[in-house]
Amino acid sequence: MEDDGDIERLLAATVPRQPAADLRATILAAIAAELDSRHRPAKWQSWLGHAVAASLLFSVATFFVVDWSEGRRMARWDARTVVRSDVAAVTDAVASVSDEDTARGVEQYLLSQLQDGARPETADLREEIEAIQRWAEAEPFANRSQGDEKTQDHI
Amino acid sequence: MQELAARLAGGETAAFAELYDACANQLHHYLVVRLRSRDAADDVLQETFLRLARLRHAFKSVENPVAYAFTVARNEANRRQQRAGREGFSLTMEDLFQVAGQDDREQRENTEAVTKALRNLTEEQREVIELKFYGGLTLREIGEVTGVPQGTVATRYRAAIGLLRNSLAKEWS
Repeated sequence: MEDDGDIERLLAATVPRQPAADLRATILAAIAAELDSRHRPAKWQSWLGHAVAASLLFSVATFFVVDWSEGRRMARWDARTVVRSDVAAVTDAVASVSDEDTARGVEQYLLSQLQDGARPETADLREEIEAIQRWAEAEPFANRSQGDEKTQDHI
Repeated sequence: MQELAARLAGGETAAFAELYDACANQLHHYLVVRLRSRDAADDVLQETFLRLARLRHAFKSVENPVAYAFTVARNEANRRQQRAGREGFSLTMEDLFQVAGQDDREQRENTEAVTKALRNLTEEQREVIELKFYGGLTLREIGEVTGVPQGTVATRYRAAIGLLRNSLAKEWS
């Protein structure tokens, strides 16, 4: 070896092994696929999108189901007539000695009194009811209509 | 080069084909000598270009796309060597160079001598030789790729050439 130039020429003359014949086509196809995928969302992004959409739909459906069932429950609650136990007891007592219509009338009367803020004296009313009951047992069945009128007068 | 870099940053497929034709052979030569295996060089070359396509936006700030491709290839080669574990340096002529069918006896002997001489270089010196002769880069570009000052690259290059000359002189004496 005379000088560095000889060494450089010698190194330049050694040619490394060549790439596989189809490597260029393989690499360029892979690059094209990679560049093409830039507009497509990644798999995890698609999955996340579907999950968010499904959870939104589920939330909306759940809201409507809960709203509907709550509406039904409130409607049942509104339709129910709450009757105090003492009023109910008087109503039952009246029903036992007269008939359902009379008992319902007594109940309506007591409830209206409660709504107006005036507490009916149910003990006094019971005494009157017992009187009505005694009368009902003593009077013949044919005169029951008069008894009904008497009951109405008490009310 | 600036125009090519802009097209690469824009994700133009034809620009990547252009870059491939401009430097793939030199990159492959460098990788064969660096990784001591043609198959490994094929894999790393493919990984390099895929990474370049994924990181195409980085080309916006790149002045020399070829040097940038070498930087990415060097990093890929380093990663591969780390994964495989650094084995001892056992260059064989057949692993590195085209010797099959070489009828020229002198050329074959020269190739054998170069292979042996390369074993005597340090890793840093050998990298400069690989990038200069098989990658076809200038000393300035080697500085860009390896991230060391050009003066340091020149020093390593002169030292490597001196060692190769001594090794080859002994070989032929």
